[in-house]
Amino acid sequence: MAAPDLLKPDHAASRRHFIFTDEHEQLRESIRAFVLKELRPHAEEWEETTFDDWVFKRMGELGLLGLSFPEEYGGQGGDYYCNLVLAEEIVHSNCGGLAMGIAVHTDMATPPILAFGTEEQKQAYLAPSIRGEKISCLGITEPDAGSDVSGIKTRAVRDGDEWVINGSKTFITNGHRADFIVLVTKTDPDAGYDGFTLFLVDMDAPGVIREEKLRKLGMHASDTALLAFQDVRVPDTAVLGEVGKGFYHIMWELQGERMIGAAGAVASAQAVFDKTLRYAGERHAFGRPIGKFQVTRHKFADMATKIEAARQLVYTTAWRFANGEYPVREISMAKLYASRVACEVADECLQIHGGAGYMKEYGIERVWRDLRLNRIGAGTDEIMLDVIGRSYGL
Amino acid sequence: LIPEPPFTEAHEAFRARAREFVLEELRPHADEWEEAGWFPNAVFGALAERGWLGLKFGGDWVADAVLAEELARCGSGGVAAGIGAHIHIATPPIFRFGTDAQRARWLEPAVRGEKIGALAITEPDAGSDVAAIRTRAEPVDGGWLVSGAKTFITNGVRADFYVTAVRTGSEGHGACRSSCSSGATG
Repeated sequence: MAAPDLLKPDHAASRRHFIFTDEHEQLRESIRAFVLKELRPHAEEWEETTFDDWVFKRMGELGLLGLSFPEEYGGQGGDYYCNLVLAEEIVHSNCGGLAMGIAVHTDMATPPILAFGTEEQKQAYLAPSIRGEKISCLGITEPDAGSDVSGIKTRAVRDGDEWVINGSKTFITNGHRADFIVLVTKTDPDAGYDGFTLFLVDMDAPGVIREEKLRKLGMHASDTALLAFQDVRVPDTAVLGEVGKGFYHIMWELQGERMIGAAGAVASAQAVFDKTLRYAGERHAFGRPIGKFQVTRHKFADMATKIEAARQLVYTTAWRFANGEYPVREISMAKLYASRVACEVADECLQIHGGAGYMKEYGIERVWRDLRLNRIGAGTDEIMLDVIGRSYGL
Repeated sequence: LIPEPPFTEAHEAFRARAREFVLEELRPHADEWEEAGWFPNAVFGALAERGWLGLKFGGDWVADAVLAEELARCGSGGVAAGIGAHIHIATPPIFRFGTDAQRARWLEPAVRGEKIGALAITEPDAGSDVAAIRTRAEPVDGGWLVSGAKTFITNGVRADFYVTAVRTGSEGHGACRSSCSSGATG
């Protein structure tokens, strides 16, 4: 008869998605070691104070702020997947606000400089950003314009060979610590989507006012600013990209922002899942570990399935993005789904922890608060749904 | 566009052929077959002619996945399920666990479309709890004597052979699978 061929799955076997190589895994290990040794010990303190600026300098020294930027600007010359590795590993700092502050710098504010900047701008802003000597922020949202990006009112008016900027920006991550801002302005109110222009503005320029530090539900380790621009004069060389193309430039930027946000959301969900899985094995009730109850086991099964689906969507979409495609629909799906899954997982993990989950000492409530931002920032769930829906011609 | 892994250009070319076959040879009959509660056995022959009943036995599981995806366009879930029962669940265990003699007797004609297979696990009193199946196989002179009942068996009416899970030991996880021809006595 047939040979008895007893196959059993090895759930503990290491596995690697096809987008990652040995080099990525080495990078992952070294980032993880740095994060655990140099960042995580400060997590509690930074929740109170926001994280220290030295983190940028230190990450610059380690080459972590320019993983996929060209070597000529001080970057590591790696591929896009290196950025995913950083986004995933920095989650282990247990400090969502720190992860966000770094991501704004590496994957939101600086990529437009490489993509659209002049050589002079790259030398003046990108290279020192990669070294961690300059900290960047990105100014899109305004008090009266969030999801409706085309509704922004900050004006830049040409005056001789200068531009004069007036307006305000809000919810600006890194806004208090930043040396410069990539600023979205309206330069031609009658030109519709063709009336926007990006500027590189030094934050110490006269007329740039850093208003109050905004207080938030979560992400307490990051600084969030309300900014005012009052007759801020910048030279023509401060224009980033093309005059009148700012809306399209920023829509491009948002794709990278959503992609990296989705990767971070999945990694965060996995981290809180892992932590809760350990808890469910240790915590006993009614004579057994709570994870051994079917009701709890099924919660974990549901969470694991959703996390895995989100991860595959993120990786496959990142693969297309890295191959030079512009997969806006799939990036929107990845951002939407990963954010929703992260919030669901954080909520279920809090529930499994019970009262302990509600207490600060277990760190679960912080994750629950921090992750809630994912469904709002970088484009709300509702905007993602609309982008996806419209992509089908509806 | 580069095909997304694990699909290759060759898979996408195969997908186009599979889609053409599904849309031209199967879909026009979908309503009629749904009404009849039956599709002709010739469908298996048509797939066999194209070499599509044994894709994974040539090592290309991904091509088999392409075929499964394209069969979703045939307009009848039951047709896709019948073909799927043959190529995805009944024949792989023979390929994976069968002896040379068993492969020659059941697998090869199944790939040629000359024999139709079905997989029989579920019983009237054992569904999700597979270890509770009661169909038994007792050793007798020259073979085994199988007694019991199976239900919800896709292709069960038309099948030439069944790959079936039966109990050969005592209660618990001791079941084994065997192939038997539907023409067998009893």
